[in-house]
Amino acid sequence: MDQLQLLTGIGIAIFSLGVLGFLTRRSGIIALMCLELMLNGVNLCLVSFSRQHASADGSALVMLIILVAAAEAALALALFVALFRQNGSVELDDYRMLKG
Amino acid sequence: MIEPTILQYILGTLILSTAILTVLGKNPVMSAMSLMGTLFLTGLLYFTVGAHFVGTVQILIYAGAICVLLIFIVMLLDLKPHNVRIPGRKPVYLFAGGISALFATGLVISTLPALGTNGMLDSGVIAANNLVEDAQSAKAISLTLLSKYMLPFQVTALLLLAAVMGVVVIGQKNKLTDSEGKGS
Repeated sequence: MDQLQLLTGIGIAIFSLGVLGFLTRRSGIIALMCLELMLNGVNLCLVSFSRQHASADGSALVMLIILVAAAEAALALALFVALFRQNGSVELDDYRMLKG
Repeated sequence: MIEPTILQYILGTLILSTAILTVLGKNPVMSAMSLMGTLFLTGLLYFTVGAHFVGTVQILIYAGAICVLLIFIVMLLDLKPHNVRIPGRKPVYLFAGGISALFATGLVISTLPALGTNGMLDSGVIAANNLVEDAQSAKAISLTLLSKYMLPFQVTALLLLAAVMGVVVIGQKNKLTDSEGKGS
């Protein structure tokens, strides 16, 4: 097994675990954590590919992804605080007003 | 072809176990702590393959800033384990397990053979030519980021500005709904 195969394998495993958690957990904050896990798996794969091709493109993309993840986490947490202030719950099942 | 070191195997096992704890943990604080562990250990894994700058940024921003924000909000909202409902419906688990297994097999099938020696670059060859440290250095990454990816970089700056404004708007008290909801 090559080092990069190990890295990519871990990245894929983390991504799949994130998908699993995102679909099963109904707490909004834990769903957000699973989203971060998925982004982290993608980052691992990107670093692995970047190293494989000996180019800096993948690492530059990782920087952008980390920035986007930071913005997304800040926005989502502000949303959850606002929702919690309104209804006292961050369970995703409690917010079905868009469902017909 | 470079065999993974013992340290990398240990880090990989720890990363996977903390990720599983994040997904399955009942206590949100425990989940957030495990997520912090996952992100920190991933940063260490970046160090072991020579991506020092990415590892530093990962630990500073991901494990440092984002996770502290998450833990802060979890503790602020005082989410208790008994407040977190676990869905009892079996179809949800089947559906979710099927989707994630589909993702995993698809990704493994599509990427892992290509990472071997089948016509692609091999990490042993790259290390022998001493290209890796060059391409993963902070200088190379910043040059790429500020030349080839200039437009995405600027758009990200706009995104951050929009996020800051959005957080301020969401975070302030809504006077209309507050005055309406005073009586209830």
